[in-house]
Amino acid sequence: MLSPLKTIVPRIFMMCLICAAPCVAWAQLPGEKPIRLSADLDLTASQQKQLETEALKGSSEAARKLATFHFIVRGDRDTTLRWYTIGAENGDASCQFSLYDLLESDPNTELRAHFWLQKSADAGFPYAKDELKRLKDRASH
Amino acid sequence: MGAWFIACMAVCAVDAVHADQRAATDEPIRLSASMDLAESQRAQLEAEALKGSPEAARTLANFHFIVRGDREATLRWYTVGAENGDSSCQYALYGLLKVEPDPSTKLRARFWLKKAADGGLSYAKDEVDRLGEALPH
Repeated sequence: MLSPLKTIVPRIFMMCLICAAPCVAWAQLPGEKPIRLSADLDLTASQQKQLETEALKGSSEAARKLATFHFIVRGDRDTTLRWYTIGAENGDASCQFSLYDLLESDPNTELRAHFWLQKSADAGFPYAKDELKRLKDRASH
Repeated sequence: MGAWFIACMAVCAVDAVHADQRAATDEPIRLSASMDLAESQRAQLEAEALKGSPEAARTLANFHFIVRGDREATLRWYTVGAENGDSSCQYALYGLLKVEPDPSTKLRARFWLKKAADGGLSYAKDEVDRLGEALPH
């Protein structure tokens, strides 16, 4: 059975896409052009390069944007993991929570997933705090 | 050079006395003997490191670096230690990454150097001073 969290992260991304893209979608006539809701997350090669440099130097926002791009637009799990890890190391609570979500389903990485969940919750990220509470409640029953 | 230096200093400091004692007999001298870990010790340290212990990650990294000479495992545990907030792991990670040919890896090396310096590690602060303006802010 899927945990409630399993549905949270995809929902967050879907909400972002739905909120960001209606103007683009609305303007297109049926059959005129395929509608791609993730279009506003696209990055050019030079934008990617710039963000990569910023992320490696320590920018949380740059790492988060790159991870989202590779997750949503490209569907590249390995690269998504790389940039969520960089973002998490840079101290970004939402990257830490996303990293938890990606790692916790694998028994080999489950322990480290919980380390990042705790970091995210310690930084005050609401989803992480809720998830931590849910896990503690489940463990106590 | 920094990571090797730290690791060698650690081995020398811990084993100097033992080495003298062994030299008196005719046993082979292996300076890293005190860093050996049994399988159960490794498993225990790995669990602690993954849960967030800086000391456990550092012990594992030193084991893989000095005793086993396993670069990948060394990188893995110095990274875990660095993520756990250990300044000496951050500095050791800098030492391992800065020699990589990939410019991205070199850039990330500087990130960890700065973290180590911010954590107050004197070697890291000296290195930051030495690099001066070359360090990203």
